[in-house]
Amino acid sequence: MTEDLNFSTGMPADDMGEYLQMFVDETSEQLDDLVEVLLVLESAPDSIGHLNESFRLIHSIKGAAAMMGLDSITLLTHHLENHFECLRSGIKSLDRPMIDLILRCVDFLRGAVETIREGRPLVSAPELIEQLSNAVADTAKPPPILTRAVVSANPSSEPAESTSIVPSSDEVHPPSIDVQIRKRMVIYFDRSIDLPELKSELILARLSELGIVTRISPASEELASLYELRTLQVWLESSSSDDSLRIAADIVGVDLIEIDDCGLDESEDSDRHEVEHIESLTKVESESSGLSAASSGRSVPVVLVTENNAKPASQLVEATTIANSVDPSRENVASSVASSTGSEQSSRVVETVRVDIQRLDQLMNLAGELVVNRARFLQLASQMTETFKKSGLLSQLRDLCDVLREQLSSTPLSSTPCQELTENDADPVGKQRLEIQATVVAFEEQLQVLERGRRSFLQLNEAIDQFSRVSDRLQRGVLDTRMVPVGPLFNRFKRTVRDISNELGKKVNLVIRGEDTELDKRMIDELGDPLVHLVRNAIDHGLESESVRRIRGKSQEGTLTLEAVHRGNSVLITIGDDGGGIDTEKVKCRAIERGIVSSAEVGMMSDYEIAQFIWAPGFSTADVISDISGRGVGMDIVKTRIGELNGTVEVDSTIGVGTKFVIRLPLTLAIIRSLLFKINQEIFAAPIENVREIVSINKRDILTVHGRDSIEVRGEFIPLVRIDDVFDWHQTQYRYAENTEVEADVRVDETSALIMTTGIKSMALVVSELKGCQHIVVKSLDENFTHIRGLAGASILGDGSVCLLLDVVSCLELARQRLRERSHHRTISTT
Amino acid sequence: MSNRLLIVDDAMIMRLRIREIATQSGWEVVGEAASGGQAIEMFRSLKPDLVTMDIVMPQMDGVEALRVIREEEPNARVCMVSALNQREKLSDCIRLGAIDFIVKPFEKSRLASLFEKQGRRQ
Repeated sequence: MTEDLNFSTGMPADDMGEYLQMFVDETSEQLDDLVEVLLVLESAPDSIGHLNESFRLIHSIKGAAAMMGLDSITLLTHHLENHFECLRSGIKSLDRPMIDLILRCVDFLRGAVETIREGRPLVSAPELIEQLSNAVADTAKPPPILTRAVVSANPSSEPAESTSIVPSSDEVHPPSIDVQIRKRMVIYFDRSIDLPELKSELILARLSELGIVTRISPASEELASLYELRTLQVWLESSSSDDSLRIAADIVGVDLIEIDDCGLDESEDSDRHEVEHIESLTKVESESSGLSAASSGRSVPVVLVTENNAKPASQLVEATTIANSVDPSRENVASSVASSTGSEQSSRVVETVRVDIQRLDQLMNLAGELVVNRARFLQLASQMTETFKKSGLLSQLRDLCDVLREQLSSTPLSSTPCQELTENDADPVGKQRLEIQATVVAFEEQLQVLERGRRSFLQLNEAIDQFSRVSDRLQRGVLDTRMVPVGPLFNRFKRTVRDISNELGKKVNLVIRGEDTELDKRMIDELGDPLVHLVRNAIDHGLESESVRRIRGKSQEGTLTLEAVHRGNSVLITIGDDGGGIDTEKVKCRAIERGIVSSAEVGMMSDYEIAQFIWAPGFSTADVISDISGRGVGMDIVKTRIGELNGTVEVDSTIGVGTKFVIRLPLTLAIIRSLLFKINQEIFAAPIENVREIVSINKRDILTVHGRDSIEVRGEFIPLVRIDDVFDWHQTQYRYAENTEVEADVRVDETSALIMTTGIKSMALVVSELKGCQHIVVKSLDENFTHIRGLAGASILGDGSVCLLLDVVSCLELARQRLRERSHHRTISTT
Repeated sequence: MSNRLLIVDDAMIMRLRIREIATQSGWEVVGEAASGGQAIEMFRSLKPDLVTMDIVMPQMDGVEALRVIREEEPNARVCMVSALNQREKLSDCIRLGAIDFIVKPFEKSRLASLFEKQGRRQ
């Protein structure tokens, strides 16, 4: 076993770099599937179907890893495979510690896959392998363990060479057909072929179709115990040509074949036993009717030695050095299009294409640029509309020209005699008339150009419409390619929940809904950690212990729900538990204790507002900090992470009934359908999802509730905020804007307000002017600028101006905070 | 006309690798199947010159697929592509008339050699 532990780990073989991404993806999926099967096996350890499935998955991972030259994965999966072989054959049964061990192995494999994804070198897992080996060794009959190390330990042993020269004393088998010629074939193999005894068996089987094999060397018994086979000699009687014999024996691994005729006498010494064996082989071969027949031919020698995957030691070293020098950037090269070349059937398997996510990002960016361009086109077109507007003016002008022309031609030139005209070149009237005539012509020409331009403009509009439709579809298409179902992400939690519930001794029933809901791949990737945190939190803090649940009259088993649903342009992910809910009293105390809020402020807060303190950095309500949900650093990080995805997370909790975290994510990160509006001459945008409605408000509609401005919308009081309540403006440029616009705002009684919502809370934002709805391509402010709380990013509009996209959730918080401070000040100043 | 190959393996990565090597060897990959059942169906409709057949696959394994294919078409040429520890099954496959086998993980030259050797037999 020690050879195993020294086994080289390392980076994938050099020429396999382009398959790396695919390996990573495929293996991740297989590991996910494996965990699911294992969890089923945990409750039904004897299910042969699931055992087979586990075996198959491990086998498949092993195969791919071996091909990639990822030795540490290959080695571990090999041991796992052995183990499942024992389980399948009933030698050993699956118990709890074993499942735990296997799951630890899966964790290691997952980690290894991640490591590969990041382009770092792999480490091996000797302790896991040792544990697995021990577990296998416990069983009565350990299956053969594959190690290349065994071969390198005996690199010089080539017993095949020596035995092949020694002819064994065999007996003659008389020919059944007269025309058969006796021949001797010497088959030379490549160095280090795999399974030499099977290769020999194959050659014999194939040759048996063409004749009767009378003798082989090395003898079949010896073949079984060989590490390496370099030559095989076959004596046979056959009527086939040398060429067809050659073809039959020329299988992969065969280097050279020599055939010579030999006399009758030489075959005299064929061993009867040997012949019997070969006959049985031939017999089975002729009955190619099924496995039942095949298994009856068990007289074929079975090799039970340590199998070798012979690779010379030098080659092994070479492989390792290559592996270590692999360029990690190769990982990025990974889009493989498996195009089908054959008929329609052949395309059935090749239904998916794995594409590097970065390429999709690029496409997405380009599609985004297209959207910006489209906006520009639309804007230009709308500006030109004025110019080419169909109006009566054009025809009036044309009429005017007609009239002028008529006038000029009909008003008698004759009133002025020709002579006078010629004599007096300076005749101002005549000259003027000619000039007018020329102008009218030019005018008419210009009118025609204008008319043509108008027609072109109409066509341009059509083209823009077409362009819009295509870019829309392109954008949607690119979006779709990035969409993957959340199912696999959710299913991973079966494992997490199992582990945590075991650790805490709480029974948890995990309910998963909406696995088919699709979300941007990148978001799925990013969502894992925050979700793990929320799930851990829900089980640790949310769900009560069994005894408490009993007292409260709830079922002993707590329920944890993971749900995903589509809502317009966003996806809602809900993590709900039926536990104790958030204890606002506790939160209140803790918040004051931590200095997050003063006791005076807390007095004025609603339960909802108090519950929001859980998002504050450094907040933890657990009486004892447990290992499970960390040290109270999580929730603010959860919020930040989801915020980075332009998503929002909110908590809704009812004491004694449960807690629900709702994560709202945009379908994509890049393009957001937004409502554009103007405040203080600056254009802002808010995601349309967050805009509940637009109301027109009059000054006298504004009420004061708890010292805050509010408006009443159908019986509901909604706080009214102004942009100043959310942001601090730099004094410089905005002074000017404020002076004009804000005053105007005050002067005009009637103004619009957007009711913005996060799903749970709403506020009304006063705006100066509404600009309409538009897809905007969001650019991060963090990248080029700095993160500003309350802003989700910026976008460039069709006319090149910049608009700021509001992060509605942060805006709501900021406004709430400000207003609270302000009213607090007011209370202090009045007292 | 180039030689026509059907690739049967449940791992896409394997199919792609085999396809790559086959194509480089001048073979035309006419189809890819991911299970024994699919392999049989595609064998019937495509009539390939050669099949590379994985052994461990979901639903129907490669041994069973080989058996059915050889029953229907006694001259079918099927090369098993399998891991080392499947030797019992490989042995069964030899009895069922597999024309060759290649052990996974294979070196490129091994598989290329298969295509070269089988290509000559057209």
